[in-house]
Amino acid sequence: MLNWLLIGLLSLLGAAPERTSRTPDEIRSTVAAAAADDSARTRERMVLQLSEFHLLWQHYWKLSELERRRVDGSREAALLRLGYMHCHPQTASTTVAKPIARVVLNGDVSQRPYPNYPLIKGDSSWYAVCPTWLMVPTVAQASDESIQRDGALLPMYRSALAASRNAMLKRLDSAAAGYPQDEWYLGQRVRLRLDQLDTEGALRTVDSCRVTPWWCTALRGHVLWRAGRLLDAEAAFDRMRREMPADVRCRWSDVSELLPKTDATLYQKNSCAARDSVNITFWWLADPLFRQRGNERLVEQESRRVDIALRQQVGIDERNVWDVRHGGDAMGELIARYGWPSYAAWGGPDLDNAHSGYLAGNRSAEIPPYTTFEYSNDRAHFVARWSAVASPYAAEEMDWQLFGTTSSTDTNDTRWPAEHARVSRTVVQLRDGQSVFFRRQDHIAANVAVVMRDSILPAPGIKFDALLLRATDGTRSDSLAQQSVRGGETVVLRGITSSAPAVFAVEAIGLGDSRVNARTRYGATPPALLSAMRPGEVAVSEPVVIDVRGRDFGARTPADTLLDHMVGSLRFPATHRRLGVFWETYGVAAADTVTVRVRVRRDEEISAAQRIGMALNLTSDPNRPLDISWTEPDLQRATRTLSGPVPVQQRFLILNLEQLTPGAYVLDVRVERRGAAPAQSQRRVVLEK
Amino acid sequence: MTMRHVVHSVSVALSMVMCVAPLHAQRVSVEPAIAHVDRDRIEFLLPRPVENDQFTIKDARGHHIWRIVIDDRSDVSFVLAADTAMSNHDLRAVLQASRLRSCAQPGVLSALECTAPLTGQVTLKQTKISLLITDTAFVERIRRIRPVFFWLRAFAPIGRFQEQTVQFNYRDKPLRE
Repeated sequence: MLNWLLIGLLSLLGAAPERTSRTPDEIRSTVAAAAADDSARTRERMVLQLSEFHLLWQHYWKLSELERRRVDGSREAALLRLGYMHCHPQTASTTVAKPIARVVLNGDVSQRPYPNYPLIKGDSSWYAVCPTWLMVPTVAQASDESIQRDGALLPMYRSALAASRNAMLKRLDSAAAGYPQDEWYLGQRVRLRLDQLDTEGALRTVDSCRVTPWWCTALRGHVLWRAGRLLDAEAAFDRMRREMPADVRCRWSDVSELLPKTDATLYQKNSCAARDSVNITFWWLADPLFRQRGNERLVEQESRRVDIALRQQVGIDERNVWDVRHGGDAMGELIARYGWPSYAAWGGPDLDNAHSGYLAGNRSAEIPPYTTFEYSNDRAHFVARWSAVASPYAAEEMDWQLFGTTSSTDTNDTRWPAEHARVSRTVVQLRDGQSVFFRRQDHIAANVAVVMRDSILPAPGIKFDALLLRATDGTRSDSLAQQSVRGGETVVLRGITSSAPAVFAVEAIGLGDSRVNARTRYGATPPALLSAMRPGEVAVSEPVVIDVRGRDFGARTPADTLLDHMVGSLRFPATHRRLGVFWETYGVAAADTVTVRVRVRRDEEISAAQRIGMALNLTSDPNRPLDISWTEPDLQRATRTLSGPVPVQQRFLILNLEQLTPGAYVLDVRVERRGAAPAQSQRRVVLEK
Repeated sequence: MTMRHVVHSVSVALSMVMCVAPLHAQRVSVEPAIAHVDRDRIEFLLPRPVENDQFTIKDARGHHIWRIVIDDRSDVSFVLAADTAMSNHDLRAVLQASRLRSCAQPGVLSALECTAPLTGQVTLKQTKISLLITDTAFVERIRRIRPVFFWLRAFAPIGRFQEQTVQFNYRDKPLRE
């Protein structure tokens, strides 16, 4: 349109002689050059003005930081922060920082209780960032920057800054009107509106998008996510990936930065086509909760990628460099892995000068101001171990380590993961559950028990709604059972499933005022249906440990009642040594003669000292198993038999393990029918001190 | 290739679609500025942009601007700026095209809006750029409010910028006869 305006202007300005002496192509070329020149001039002025706005933000932020330090100067926090501001790699290729200084505090040497801390270094610069948890539980007169971009400004500066940002937006809007296909204007207008917390305005800006379709959709997803519209954002990002050319999608969706280095290498060996399917599994397993629609972690990641691209359009903004030649790749990786930090402490002009000197000495660009990058402790590490991504149905509970979420005073960086994110509700990991599958003619009975216990779960008594789910990919999840449970209690969930492999999950949503959810998940391949058993075959289920404390369970107690008391943890304190054990055999009829053996054997290597003790007869062999065996039918033993094409027998006994020393044990159950191969199964338990 | 390269390359790809120059950047020196206030003149010695091949892209084009803001609560702000962006990294050429202008409002967002002329001389002095301001009204004004420091905001192509806090050095010797 501008070209046509210029053509009109040329005729009005009496350019007729030129028109007659030049070919139409020459005229078009001249007009295009003039338009390009005009476009470049406008852009240069806008770049300058945007830079001026960013520097104004930095100005207010520095004043805020100086004031904060004056009124709330924790000397200890300031000293600890020094190492994070002076983020020095040990060598050009390391991914950990060396502690540059042991700081003296009140005469004592104070430093973090670990030798190294996480570091992300630029590829072509010595500039590096050292992310960490928040050094102090609260920062005076600051709100979380990852929620409110101006959160680090003192409240007294925020309205002035917002007014300046509005003025900047008006200029950008005005300039952009002439260049509707310019992605720079579009991107910066969206970005500033989001910084202004004006998601409606940002959405209107995206509505006017006339540039590369996938980028328009990416911006829409970014804005929708910031507006808290998870499902709409997820749909937009899904569409974005479909609209992207395959090679762009391959690079855009690369998740190697979210993985530890060795796993990243494995990931990168995949072709682009293979990555598409690996990515689907990767994000399915990183979904914070299967039971809720939408994958907050994936949407957050796509939003981070858009945010990084928007910032890299300007090279440098309020206080961070984004140009990869000057260390901006370190910033990009920081945001890709962890999102925007909650708080960034500034070391002041002296520290800036010192660190600039260090960078200049290593032939790297000086890019003050230098800050910490501190993250609130309510973020969790959702990405599963690579082994789980490679074989999700063989995944173990510990393949997820949500351990980023801790109490607000925990600043231990030894738990620093390869990525983390904050989602709408804190998610904590439940541990040490007990799961068992029982075989039936045409289905599998799934039984899971888990203790609703974690150091940061709300006080006992808070109610949770717990579901047992079965998922086979990112789009197919089915609930198998539901229970209401209180914090601190054990929840037992029992449902019906098939024998197909799946990822099973217990997911509990805190009710009432609680903002905490809890979960555990694992892959499993349930046993085959009874209908698949060969004639004459004998099989045995895994033994299930039943909590018999304070209860009068007899051998004839119905299985349903027993299973309602499955223990939710297989780690037993010293006060808990009396265990009920329940199991089923398949293919053994009531009249069949079988030999049953229950053995409790040690599952640990014997130490050299113990061997010497045993040789000198000073101590008994701790590995000597506890054996109980008997033959059935036996009138003294009540075995319940469920009749059917394949008979099912249920057995229950109570073991007293008080004589066993603390340690890890394997509980073996073996059933042997004359003329058939013996069947055996086991479960590992730990007797704690 | 890691994601940070990817996002960068996507960004660069976008830039190419937009037909704009890639993300050039020029380092702005952190060499400290100095300001001497005499009775009849004020000399600001400003750092010059560092010409360092490692960091400088030869054809980077944009605005070179030095803006001085004297204390937030006062109303003094002026700039050394050229009207147009320049692709020339020859500092003499940049300074030749630049003019000293006073800002009507210190809080005005852009230096390009500072248009009132201000009397002074701009020269290269060893490693610094010297702004010698002899505008009587301006010098009197500064001496009257006697600010302790000023903010120097330096901008260089493209979108490189930095802010320094600089203390004034008052030289209260008698006026020359």
